[in-house]
Amino acid sequence: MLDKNEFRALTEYRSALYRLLSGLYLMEVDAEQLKTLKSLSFPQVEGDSDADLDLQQGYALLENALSETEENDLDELAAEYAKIFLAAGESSGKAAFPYASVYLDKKHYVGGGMEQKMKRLLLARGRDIDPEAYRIMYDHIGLMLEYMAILCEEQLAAEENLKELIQEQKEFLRDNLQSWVYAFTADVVKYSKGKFYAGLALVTSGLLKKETEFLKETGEKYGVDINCE
Amino acid sequence: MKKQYAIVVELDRCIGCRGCQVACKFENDISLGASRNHTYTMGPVGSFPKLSMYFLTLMCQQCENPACESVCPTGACYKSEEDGIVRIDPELCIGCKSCQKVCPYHANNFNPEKRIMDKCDLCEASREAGEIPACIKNCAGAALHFGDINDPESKVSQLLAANEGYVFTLKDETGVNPSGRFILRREPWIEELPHVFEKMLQEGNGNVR
Amino acid sequence: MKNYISAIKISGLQKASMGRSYLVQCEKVLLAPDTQERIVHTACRACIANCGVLAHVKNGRVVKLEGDPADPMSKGRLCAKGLSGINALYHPNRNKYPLVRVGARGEGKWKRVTWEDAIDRVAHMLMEIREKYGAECVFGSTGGGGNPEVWSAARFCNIFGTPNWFEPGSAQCYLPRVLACAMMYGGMDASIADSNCLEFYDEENCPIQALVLWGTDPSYSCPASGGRMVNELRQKGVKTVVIDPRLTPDAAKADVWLPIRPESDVALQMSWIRYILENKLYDEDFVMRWTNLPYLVDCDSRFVVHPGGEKTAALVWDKKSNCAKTLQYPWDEELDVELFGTHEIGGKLYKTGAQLLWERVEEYTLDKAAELCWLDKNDIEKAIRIYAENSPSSLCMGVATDQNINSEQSAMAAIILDFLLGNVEKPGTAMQRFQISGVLKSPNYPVPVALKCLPKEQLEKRLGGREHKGLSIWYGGHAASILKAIQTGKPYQPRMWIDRSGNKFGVLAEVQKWAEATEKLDYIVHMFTYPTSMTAYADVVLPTEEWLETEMVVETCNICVARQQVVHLWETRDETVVWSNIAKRCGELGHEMCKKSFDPEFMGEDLAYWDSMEKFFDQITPAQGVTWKEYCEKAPFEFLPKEEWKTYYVYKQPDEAGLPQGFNTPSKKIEIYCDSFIELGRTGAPFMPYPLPPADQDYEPLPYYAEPTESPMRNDEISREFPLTMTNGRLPLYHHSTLRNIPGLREMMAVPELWICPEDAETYGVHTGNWVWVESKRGKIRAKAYVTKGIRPGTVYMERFWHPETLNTPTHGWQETNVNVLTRSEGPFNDVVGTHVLRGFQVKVSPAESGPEGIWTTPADFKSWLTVGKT
Repeated sequence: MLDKNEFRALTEYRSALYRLLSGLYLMEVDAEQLKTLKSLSFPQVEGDSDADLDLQQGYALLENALSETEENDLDELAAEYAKIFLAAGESSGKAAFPYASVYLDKKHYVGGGMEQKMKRLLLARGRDIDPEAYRIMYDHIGLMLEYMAILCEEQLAAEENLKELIQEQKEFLRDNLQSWVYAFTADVVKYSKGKFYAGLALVTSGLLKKETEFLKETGEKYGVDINCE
Repeated sequence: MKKQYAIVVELDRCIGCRGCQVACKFENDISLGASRNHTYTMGPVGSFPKLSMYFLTLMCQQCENPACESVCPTGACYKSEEDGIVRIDPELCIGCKSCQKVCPYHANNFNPEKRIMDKCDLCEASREAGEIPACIKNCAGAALHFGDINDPESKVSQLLAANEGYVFTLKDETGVNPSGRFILRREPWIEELPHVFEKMLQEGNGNVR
Repeated sequence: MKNYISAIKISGLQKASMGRSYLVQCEKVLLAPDTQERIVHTACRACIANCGVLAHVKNGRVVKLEGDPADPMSKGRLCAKGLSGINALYHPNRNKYPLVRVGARGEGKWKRVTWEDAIDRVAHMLMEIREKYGAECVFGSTGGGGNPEVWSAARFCNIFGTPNWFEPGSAQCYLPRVLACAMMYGGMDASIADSNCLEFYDEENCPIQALVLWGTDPSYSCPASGGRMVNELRQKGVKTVVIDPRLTPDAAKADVWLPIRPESDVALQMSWIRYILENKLYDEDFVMRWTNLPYLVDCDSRFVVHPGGEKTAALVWDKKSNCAKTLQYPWDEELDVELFGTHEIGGKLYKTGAQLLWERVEEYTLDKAAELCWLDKNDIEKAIRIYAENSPSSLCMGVATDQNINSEQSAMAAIILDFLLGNVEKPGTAMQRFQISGVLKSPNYPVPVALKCLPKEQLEKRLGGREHKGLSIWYGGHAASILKAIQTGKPYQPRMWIDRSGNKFGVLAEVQKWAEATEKLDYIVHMFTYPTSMTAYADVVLPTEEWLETEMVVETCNICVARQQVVHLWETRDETVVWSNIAKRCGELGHEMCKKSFDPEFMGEDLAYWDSMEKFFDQITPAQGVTWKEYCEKAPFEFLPKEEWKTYYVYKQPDEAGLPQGFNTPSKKIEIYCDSFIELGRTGAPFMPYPLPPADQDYEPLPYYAEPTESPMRNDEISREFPLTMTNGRLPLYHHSTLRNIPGLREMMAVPELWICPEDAETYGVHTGNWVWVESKRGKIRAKAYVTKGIRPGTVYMERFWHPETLNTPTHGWQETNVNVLTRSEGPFNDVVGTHVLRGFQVKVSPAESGPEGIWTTPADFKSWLTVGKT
């Protein structure tokens, strides 16, 4: 069990990692971001749980990819992004659409129940998609990950009510990500030609598996009684 | 007299646009590769250029003695007393496809997602909401009708009466007694099951009348 | 979880995660889920019929489509194409964001950019080409697949300064008929598939007695509207005659089916004219008083004589006084006007229009027509009698005759037939001038083409423009001439292609040449709703809206309909706005005319460019006294009650001077002998604002028959090697090159069928369901054979096709089964409008070992267009 300070320190990393991943799903890598990404140093991950293996593999792929990518490779990377997530120029359906509806809805169309649900949730919380940004749907993985980051930040800023905030994180993960994200990350790996986005997918998968376990434990400590499976 | 809902098709009106097939597909969420109804091209037969051709749209014939009902191992498939419609209970159906094998009219599909059988139920859910079946509503030729053929006052019965001598039913070799009715005035009726007939045409055997 | 923090303790993480936020703070809003479906009255755009649609929306998503009963043309029906609108809208492969090519053309690698970036790039490309080589080296194109706003492309090109834009349709689709009608009558043409023949839609009350469907199959081209209507007329006893090599549903239900040899139609039409003239089946009163057939024509100049230079005055032969007399419009009861006659006056030879018409058709006896058209003489006569002896009747044409070198002449001959019978502007006839709502200022589409913005010296550079002046009725250029210029560099080298629409490589003629030609183009821009073969050759992709996202004013009979934006996905834009965006950026980069095109004072009637569809329509809908928003709320609404809208005998209605207003022609009469065609060929009048250099040869004022260049009748090398004549025809599932990626439709016809009759099938060893090779002098493709008696011997049929699933392979989807690999882009073309050959050319058929590799043929294959990611 963590004490309050350890919990804080961990959540700072949780929040930052959520933000990093979310940004990479929402936007292509630009020159500036490439620089900061290249300066990242990934930790050695011990353990052999699914989550650990995902993280190990993911970090390795990212590290590899980043070492091989220079500024003049960014167009190729953007093409990878467009191919995998936007089905750009694709005409046989092969893509890993980063939308919950596509994975959860019976008809696998975009803009389904999850989209509306996320829209209501976000607007009720006083958040909306930046009107200056590319137009996307509300159930985009990037938005969900960013929202988790926001919840973590609220947790960091809070003095009390930690129980409620953790509950919210747990519920959000369970209700909006759990049911589809692993199928999605598997597809990202499947449709990736290069290493970068495959790595991103594995790190995402690993993080969320860790989160699931962690929030369950933390819940137990704080008396939050929800199954996070 | 017991009610018997059935579909009556005025074949002279059918222009073969397949709008009924597509409307049904989208309305009832039919899986790819399956269709509750089919529009068959009957012909052309005859001697060029004096040819005869019509389009035959058919779906479940709501038979009086359904072969599917008699062969169903779980009782999922049954003919309703109230309206004569042959239904498949999704709770009881195990998707064994026995009904598909015995239906002379190819009315049954297997739904691979739900893993049960699927057939025309005259758009039951829509009808309960006050609508008419999707195929009928959307028919560009206004060729499709449905109603109780056992009620002489019904619109379909009146239509059939007005076309006496030109009313046909599908070939029935096993005594299922199909309820579907087809009105054809302009062309000679081809007395063969449409999927059999299509095969005959393919094999060059198309001079059937 | 001990090691959790160590597992994610990435150094540098804090810095890397900063600055990229997609969510912004806003006011808290509580939305409730929809309890009910919202229903939007809109209109389809899966094809050009614009049938009324009720779109059901729940929780932001379109959940159901059905026909809108308020639409008097479709009366609540929706065809297979329209029904698939939801699939098209949510298709995973839609173009969603502007894309810019990464790597080489055809690699299929794209990166997303903003609209601003994309438009900027396109504008820079345009300005660069204009600066270095001249604006004429940019050419634009649009197309009919999925029904675009056609004039948007024309407008942009005029403003940008290039005379070169084309549509794969136009001279190969509808334009010949529009032109003939405009020149000879000045009213609406009789095309069912183009949503005319509005008189027929009141089926119960329409008094038509006989309907000829010439090379058109409404059952397949517009099932919900035209097909439905023709069916209703048939059911109530209207007799029908169908001329078509293929046994379509309409042909099967016709009283007489004439299975004509493809593209020999004008010969048959001439025989009909001859028969009607010889047997005096024409409406003599109408012909005398309301056509120019009694007018004397100067046989030297070939122009109708107009004493005093007034077009409404004519010279006729008065039988009473046995001399030529001036006839002042509209008629002179004192004269006994002669209809057929040849006279020498002052040493010159004059003939009446009727005489010239007779001489033109004289050789086309029933026997001759039977021989040329491969028909039974008695059947031809039976057909003519049904048409001519039942009144009123009408003759409706389709696209078939628009697709070979005799296109314009066929259009002329068709309406001559209806004019001879007096089948115009009376109850029960197709050609009418009913009231309009005023919201569609340009024909059929609302965007003004701003012809005045194109400088004269630019217009004169139009490729193919001098020879084919008929294209100028649609302000457009000649596709085949543009191709030629790209290939040869003469008279100049086109360098940039900016294209809206489906798949040019599915629909142009001899598409392999176009593919080759792209190598000579510096820049290619493709605007469409999803990737097609065109995308494989493009440098920039601009995502346009699917029809459920678009907006348009639609007029259907006496009803104003709004196609409204039901939902809007991604960053797609209406093409009508995209062209405007490009013009704006060009203006910012220094293009004077593009800048001016945003100035309402300068543009006047041509309207200033717009940033949104609403801004555009707000300049249009005031014709009905409302703003666009108000129009949408009100629609569908009657702009006139039915009885007021239907105005018959417009030509008899008095003008200010109290005379009947006549027809919209220079003489105010129906100009069956149409010397305006001569003028058109020489100067471009009446469509060009100033005279242009003349075509090499005068256009003919009367139709003539031209045997197709490749023809079994020629008994030459080509017809010996390629003994079968190819034709095409519509299918109810697809519109042009669209919808091949909709699973529910594609599973019904996964690959194109080649229809071949049993005798020919036997000769060539072909069986139903087998793959066959189909070859012409230009190329070789495959199709699945369908042996049927429903295609005449000596003829084969197939429809255009391409394969989205092989887009990212070397074939780019257009080479496997595409009949347009076989068609001809080289001349000779139709003289007036430059039609290239899409039907009526020679092929040979032989069994193939197998089908093309990689194409999808079974329903299971199409699943990946439904289930993104989950296979």
